[in-house]
Amino acid sequence: MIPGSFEYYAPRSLSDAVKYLTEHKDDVKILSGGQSLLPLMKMRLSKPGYILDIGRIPGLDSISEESNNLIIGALVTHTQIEDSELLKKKCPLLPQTATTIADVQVRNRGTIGGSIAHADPAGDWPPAVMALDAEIKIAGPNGERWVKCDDFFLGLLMSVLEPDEVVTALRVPVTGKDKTAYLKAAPRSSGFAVVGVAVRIAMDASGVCSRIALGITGVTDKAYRAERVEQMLSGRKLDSKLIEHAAAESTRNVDVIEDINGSSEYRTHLTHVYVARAIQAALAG
Amino acid sequence: MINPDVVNGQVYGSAAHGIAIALGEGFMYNAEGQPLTITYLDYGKCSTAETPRVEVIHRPSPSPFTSLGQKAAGEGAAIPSPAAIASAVEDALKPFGAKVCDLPLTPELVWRLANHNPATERRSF
Repeated sequence: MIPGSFEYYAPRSLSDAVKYLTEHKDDVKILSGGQSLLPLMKMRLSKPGYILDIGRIPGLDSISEESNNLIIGALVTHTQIEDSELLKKKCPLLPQTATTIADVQVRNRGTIGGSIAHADPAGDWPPAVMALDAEIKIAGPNGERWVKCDDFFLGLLMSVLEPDEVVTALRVPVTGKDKTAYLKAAPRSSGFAVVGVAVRIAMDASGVCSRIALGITGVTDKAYRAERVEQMLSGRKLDSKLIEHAAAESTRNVDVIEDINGSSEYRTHLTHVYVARAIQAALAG
Repeated sequence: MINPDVVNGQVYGSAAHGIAIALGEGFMYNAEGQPLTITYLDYGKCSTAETPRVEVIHRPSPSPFTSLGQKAAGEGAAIPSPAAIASAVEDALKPFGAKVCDLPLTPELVWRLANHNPATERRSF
């Protein structure tokens, strides 16, 4: 439970951070809240020679509103999101998701930028930001770029983030009257999703679902959009029979994983149940 | 009892342990024998939040062989509590004709029992 030795650097500016990343990109890890990185280092699953602590870079730890979007800095903690009055009003899916993450201690330290950059296949943020069609802001040696969440995650702990790049913010739309919910099944000891489902539904005046977005985590090597379910439900009046019928399609062509918390058969069943429940919860909320 | 607090502490602790044995604690291995339960993240112990309130009723029977009738007391409640929970789950699953033969009763195992799935894999310990 003792990490290997490493050089530690805590720059005060983003440009210094990117410079350090460029210099050490083969052997550097970015430290944000440390809630994923430090356990990995203590178990020696990760042994970086250089640690770049971005915690002292100003301007990355606030939540603000910009036209019809919310900008969330990479260093914003899960607790900040959980407690944000602005988010509760403008994008309640985010505070609701934050309350389900691990425990109070982890939520106080862990950050949304760190969680997204880590790309854990059971992370709670990836499905939520995917259901919201959020965009991720990345800084690197060639300046800044924005990436759509749907294009960001590539696989197990893998994303489009280059070794000399750092996640700096998230752009999330104001969800307004849309109905949202995040629901997950998780063992009590870890809180890691066996399956987690985030959903955003837009209804028109006649009660027809005009648009639905579903993000699912914990089920395969990365979070994914349940596109087939979305297609089956958009433009339709949602009743429980249709919802259950569509939910049963949420794992089609998905390679469902098997681990200590459930076989792939059980996880598949649980995913169908939780997709249906998440949609019902959003409609009821 | 020489010190009731010490005896009660043993009973509370062992009751919690027995409940965890029934519902969460299991040493899991994969088909190649690789241990999968390697940290407390993977081991379903009961924390304070999951442990119900325990009421202890003592039924003392002094020993005729010791100076004050004293005996030893230990973690006795760990022994009947897994059986009690397993029997309760089996009773709840009566409509499915399920027989509980394995612990811990994880959500997946209960699901398999309810679906009367003969392919239920027994865990190795």
